[in-house]
Amino acid sequence: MVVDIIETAGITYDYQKYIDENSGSLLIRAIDNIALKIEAGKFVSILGQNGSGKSTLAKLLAALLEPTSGVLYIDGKDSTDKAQMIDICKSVGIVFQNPDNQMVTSIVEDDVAFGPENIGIPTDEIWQRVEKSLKDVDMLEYRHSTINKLSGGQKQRIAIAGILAMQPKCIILDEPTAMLDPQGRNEVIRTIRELNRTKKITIIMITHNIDEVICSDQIIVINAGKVVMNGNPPYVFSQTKTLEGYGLAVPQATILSNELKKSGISLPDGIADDSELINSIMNYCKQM
Amino acid sequence: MIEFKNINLVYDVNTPDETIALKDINFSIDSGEFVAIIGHTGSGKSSLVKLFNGLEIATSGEILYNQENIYKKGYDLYKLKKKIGLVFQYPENQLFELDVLSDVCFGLLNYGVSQKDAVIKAKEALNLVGVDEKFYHMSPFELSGGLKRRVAIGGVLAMSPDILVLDEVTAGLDAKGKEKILNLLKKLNTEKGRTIILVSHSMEDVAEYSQRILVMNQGTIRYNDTPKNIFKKISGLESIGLSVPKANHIVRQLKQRGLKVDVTAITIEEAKNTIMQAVGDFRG
Repeated sequence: MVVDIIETAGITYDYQKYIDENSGSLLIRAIDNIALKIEAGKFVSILGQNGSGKSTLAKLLAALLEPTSGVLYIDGKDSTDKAQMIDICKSVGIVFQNPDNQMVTSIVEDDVAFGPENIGIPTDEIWQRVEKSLKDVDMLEYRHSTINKLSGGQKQRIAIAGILAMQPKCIILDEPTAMLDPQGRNEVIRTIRELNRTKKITIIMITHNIDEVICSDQIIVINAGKVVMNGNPPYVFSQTKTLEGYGLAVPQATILSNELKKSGISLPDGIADDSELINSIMNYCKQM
Repeated sequence: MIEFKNINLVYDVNTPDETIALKDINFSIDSGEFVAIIGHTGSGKSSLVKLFNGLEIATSGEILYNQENIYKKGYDLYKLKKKIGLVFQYPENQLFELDVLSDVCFGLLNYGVSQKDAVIKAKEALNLVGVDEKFYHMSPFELSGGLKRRVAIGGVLAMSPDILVLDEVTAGLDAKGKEKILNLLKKLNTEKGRTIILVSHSMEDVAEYSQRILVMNQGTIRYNDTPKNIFKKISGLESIGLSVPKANHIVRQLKQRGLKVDVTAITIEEAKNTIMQAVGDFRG
């Protein structure tokens, strides 16, 4: 049976923007009538240009914001139901862009323990969870380290471990790699994929780095607060023009394959991955 | 134009926390060049950037700006800061004024420019970075991420620096915002003759935009060469946590599969050309 971890129907979210004493405030619609279904266990990427509403959507899905109207079910629970708030917070965790803003203690293991401690987990179990979570993100050897001496990629993995210690069903990541170097980026992406694959944790990742979304199961494109594209990577990447129209980058392999097609080489549509492009070029050569 | 000679930078000298940030750095950058600095996190890029305009003072060594040692007694570092503009990572965090225009005027006013001239220069700079007039009297905090960043760069550009040093200036921006900023830098470089020094994590961007690359590793300069020559050293780059541009990666793999492509192609354009050529030869 297919279970939806997230289900929304027509959610909107308005921000109040204060102008001045005379004009009062203005409503800005950040999320405009979004209906979405996200299946449990999937790896979903959300793309959209700056100001498109991605981060607002992430906060809604993590129940940090309450929709202005519409219904949002997180793991089968109504996100506006205060009585279920703690349960929702246990099912969904969120990681933000800047690792330094998410660290609450100075020592790695204390930071990971912070979440479970807050929901009243017994001490012995907290330490078991801390150890396991740090192991899952490959940071166990740093458990006694000072956080501010770690690299950005390591700090992000600690932030992820902090969420794993809450044993969530779904992790939402809001541009988790934007501030990292290529190595840190790879570490974080590898960790996220591994969690999705082995633990079947649903991943909802917001990113600007198009190369990171290629291996996701589903891509959702947001523009001006609306869902404008929703499908698998080959479907989304076959529509280069549309993507560019929404101010989004296309993968390097897609750009190169489009250039080659324009010059007369026939290649399949929607190539997003390097090896796919290389195989297609070699096939083309052999068929001549 | 600017030359680093035997520069060493040590933090917390003579304490248990003593750390060597930069070791024996030597290089020079000519007027009008577009130079990229790449390196793994912690390789010393940001420490190097802070030395350019005297924000951080080297422990030993000399920095010559227009043949003059900036560490010489009596050298006017205050003036130097106007000539060499630094744009930090997340420059929008440094916006603070009530509206966009005042924010861009702030630096100029501090340098004693009259209110009237400051406004003229600020408007020129905002025009250059593509910030429309309708935003001038909005709070900088109400703008989108890409726009905020362009306002912040405008604040530095308003000072008309000869050299613009930018630390990871496109991090966190979407494709459109990123392209706008990179094209702006290119324009400043080719049309206005400004020297651009760009710290970046994107191999694709440095291959596309820079004329020369400084590769940092563990506080030293590992390589200093043209993008073409730098990206020939794939194993050297990978051993220090860097990589080659995607397009180069693709042509290298095609070569391994037996296609006679030129593996020095580093941009999409070059990759396309050599692949077209090789496919033609394959047929011939």
